Amino acid sequence: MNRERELAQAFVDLADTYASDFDPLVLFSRLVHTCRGLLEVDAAAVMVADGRGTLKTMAATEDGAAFIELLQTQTGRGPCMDCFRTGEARGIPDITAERDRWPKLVPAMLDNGYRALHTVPLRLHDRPLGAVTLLNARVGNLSEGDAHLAQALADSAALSLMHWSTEPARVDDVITRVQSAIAAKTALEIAKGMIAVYGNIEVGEAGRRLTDYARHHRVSLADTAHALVSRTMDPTVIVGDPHGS
Amino acid sequence: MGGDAGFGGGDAEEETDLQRARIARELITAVRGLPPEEIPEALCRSCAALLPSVAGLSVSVLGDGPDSAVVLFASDETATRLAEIQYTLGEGPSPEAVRLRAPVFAPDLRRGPDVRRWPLFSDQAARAGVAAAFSVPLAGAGGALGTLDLYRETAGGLDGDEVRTALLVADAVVLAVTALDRASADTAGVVTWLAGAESDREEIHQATGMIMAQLGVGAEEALLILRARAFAQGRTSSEVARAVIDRTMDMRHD
Repeated sequence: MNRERELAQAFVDLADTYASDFDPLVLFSRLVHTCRGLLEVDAAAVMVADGRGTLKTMAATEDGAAFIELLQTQTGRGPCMDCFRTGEARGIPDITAERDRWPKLVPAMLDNGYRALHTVPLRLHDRPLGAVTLLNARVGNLSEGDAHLAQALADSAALSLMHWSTEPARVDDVITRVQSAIAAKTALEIAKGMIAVYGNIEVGEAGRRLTDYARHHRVSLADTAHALVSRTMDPTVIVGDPHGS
Repeated sequence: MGGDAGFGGGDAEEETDLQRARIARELITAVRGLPPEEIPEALCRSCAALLPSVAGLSVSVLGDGPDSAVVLFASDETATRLAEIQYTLGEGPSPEAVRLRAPVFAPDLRRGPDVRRWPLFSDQAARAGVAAAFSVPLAGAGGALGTLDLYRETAGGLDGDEVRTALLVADAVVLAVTALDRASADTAGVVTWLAGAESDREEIHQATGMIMAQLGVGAEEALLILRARAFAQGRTSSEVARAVIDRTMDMRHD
C-alpha cells in the first residue's frame, strides 16, 4: 500500500469505532500501533487523565515491565502531564539534557534504549483528555509532517471516543466516557493475569491471546475481559485445557 | 525550554495520594471504635463534611444483581428517595454508573439531554425537589460494588475539584467498608496500611487476576490477599504484585 492509502486506511480504522459495538480498548490500541506504523517513531503509548488527577496508560506498543515502568514515571509529572495540562504538543529531542528536570524519567528512558520523546495532547475540541507519547531511539525532533499527523490521529481517536450518542458531548459526559474506558482497561489487566495463570504463560502473551480471541470471534475485548473477571466466561475457552493451576 | 514555569507544575500523583490519604484518614477516624450499627451514620456525616457543595448524598450497595441495591446511608429523606427511585426504576445515573463502572452525571434534570435520557427518573427526581444528580461507582477490583450519589436543588455540574473529591470519597468508602476489619485497629496502622495499599496500577490488576486464578477467589478477595501480604511483609502492593507476576511469589504455596 502506498503512503496515501495507508493514511486513509488509518483514519478509517480509527473512525470505525463509531459502530455500535464500540470498544475503547481497541480504539486506543489502534491509535498507538497506527502511530508507530505511520510515523518515524520506535514506540508509542496513550495516557488519559483519571478524574482523580493522575494519568493512566490505556495502550502501548510495548508490553514489557520496564516499558510500563517508564510510563508510570510519568503518571504524576513529566512531559506528558505538562502536555495534558497545557494542551500543547512538546518535543524533547535529547532526553539526556533533561536529567535535572525529570530525574526518574530520564534513566527509565535510557534503560529502555530511548533518547527522544515527543508528546501530543489527546483533546476533544479544546478540552484536554490525556496525551500521546512517542519515543525514539535516536536523538532528534519529530518532522513537522509527522507532528501534524500525530495530532490528527490523536484528534480522530478522541472524537471516536466521544461519539457515542446523538446528543452533543457535554463536559459531564466526557468524564463518564473516559472513566468507563479506564474501567475497561482495569478489567483487561485483571483478565490478563487470570489467563497467564490458567495458560501458564507470561502476562504479555496472555494479553495477545485475549486480543486475538476477541478479534477472531468478533466480540468486544472489553466485554470479554469483564466476562472473565466476573467469572461468567470460562478461561479455558481462550487458553485450552488448564495446566497452570 | 523556556516558559515552562507557571502551569501548576506540581506532581499530580503526589497531590492525589496526599488528598487520598487525608480523606481515608478522616473516614477511618470517624468510624474507629464504633459499634457496627453506628458506622453508617458516622460515615455519612464524614462524607457530607467532605462534600459541602452538594445538598445531600447517599451510598447504596448492590445486592445480587445490578438492579437490586440497599441504601447503606443517606444524609436526608430526599437522598434516600433519589436512590430508591433509580434502583426501583432501573433508570437514572446510578444504574448507569454501575453498568459503565464510571461516574454518570445529570447536571440538569428539568430540561435537555438528561430528561431525554431518563424520562421517568428525571420526572420523579424533579418532583422530589432534585435538579441535579451525580452518581459515582464504588469501584471494586472487578466491578462496581454500589454507588455514591450526590444531589443538588439547583441545576449545574460539578467542577473538576468536586469531581476529584467525590471519586476519592467513593474510594475511601470502599476501603472503609471492605478493608477495615482486615487491618489493625489503630488509626496510624490503618493509614500506613492504606499508604501501601495503592490499587490502581497495571501490575496490581494483573497480579489480582493471577491470584484469582491461583486460589479460585473473586477479584475483591484476591486484591485483599495481595494487600494483606504487602502489609505483613512491610512492602508496597506494587512490589508484591511484581513478585507474583515474576512468579517468584505464589499465593498457593504459603
